[in-house]
Amino acid sequence: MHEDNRTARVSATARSVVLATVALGCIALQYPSRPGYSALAAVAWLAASAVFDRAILARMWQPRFLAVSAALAALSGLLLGAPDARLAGVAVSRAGVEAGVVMILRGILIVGIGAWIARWLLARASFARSATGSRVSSAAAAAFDLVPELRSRIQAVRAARSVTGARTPVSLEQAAISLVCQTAWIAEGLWRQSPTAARPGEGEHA
Amino acid sequence: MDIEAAERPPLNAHLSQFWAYAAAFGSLWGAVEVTAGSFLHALRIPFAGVLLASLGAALLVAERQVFDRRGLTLVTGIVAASCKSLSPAGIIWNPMIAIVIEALLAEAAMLLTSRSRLSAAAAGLLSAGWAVTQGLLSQYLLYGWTVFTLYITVVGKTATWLGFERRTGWLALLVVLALFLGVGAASGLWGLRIGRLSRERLKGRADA
Repeated sequence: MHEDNRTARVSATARSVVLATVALGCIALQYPSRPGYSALAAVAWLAASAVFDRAILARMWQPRFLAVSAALAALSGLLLGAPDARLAGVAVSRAGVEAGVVMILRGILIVGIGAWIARWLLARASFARSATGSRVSSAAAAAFDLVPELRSRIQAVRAARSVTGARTPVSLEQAAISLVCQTAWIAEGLWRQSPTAARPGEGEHA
Repeated sequence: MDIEAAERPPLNAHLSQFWAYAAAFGSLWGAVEVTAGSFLHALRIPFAGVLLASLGAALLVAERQVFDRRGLTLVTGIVAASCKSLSPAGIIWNPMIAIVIEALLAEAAMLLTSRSRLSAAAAGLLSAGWAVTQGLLSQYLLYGWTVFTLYITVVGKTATWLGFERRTGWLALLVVLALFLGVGAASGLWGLRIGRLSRERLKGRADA
């Protein structure tokens, strides 16, 4: 069992090393900004992802990003450079189309490498949490507990403003002051629950 | 809702006063991001990031009026960014990175003093400015310089099609950018006012 875990860890490290090397190679291939090199880089990354970490491929499927990229590429064919070719009956410039293709391929590659880095970081998040010490994690844990509470208070303030019809800047300001005071009150409550707290009333509001 | 109505939630964490404020205000910012952020994105309001950054800057400036400690603004941002992972969409790196950098810039603006109008306005302006810059920076990383050449061409051609000079397009862009930065600076100043009034209210309550 222990041996199995070690083998799995080693193979995960080996996969990360291979993917990091491929990522660096692909980034280097992007530099000449030529469609052929960019296509080679994108294909190499897709292949490496398919072999070593298929979850990256799922994360790369972002229809909105792909639609925006396609629109930008089409625009660059239409707007950049003098028209010197026809594509589906529309006058386009070769240089513009090439620039658009490079742009899309570069975008796909960066999104793919970004997806891998995000997965890599998330896998190490638990390690980072223990390494950064207890204070940040305690504060974050306390904050997690408070979010639903504060969220409901924000919604209550919003609801109170719409019921009373008081949508003037003055009432917005009063609502904001109320929220800040409540949050400071919660902070004082949090602190006074802790063993390091001083006597009540020693909190700073100066 | 008044502060008397605010009940202390049951909490188990052992925190110093500094970290307690960071946790409470970080979670308030996180809650604002989750509620207002979802609302603005659902309405597809353009440049929602600038509005959220301005709101966040107002909150950070207000926090420093209530409890003034160096480093608190940055730590509050880190806590808020971790709260953002509670969003229904799960962990989204872009807004999380934006929150931390906006907090860092606000901290830098309030390094010398957090009580002056200048530092409050600078905190808001820098936060709103980053919201615009991060969008451009991520486009540069994704698509390279070509995308800016394309935007420049689009601005120039749009101005020409509308019968204006090319530089009118640039002027319009500059006006929009100045408007964003102005909204940010105004939010910082509003945060200063909210913070001062909140401090007075809290002080009055402590004295009573």
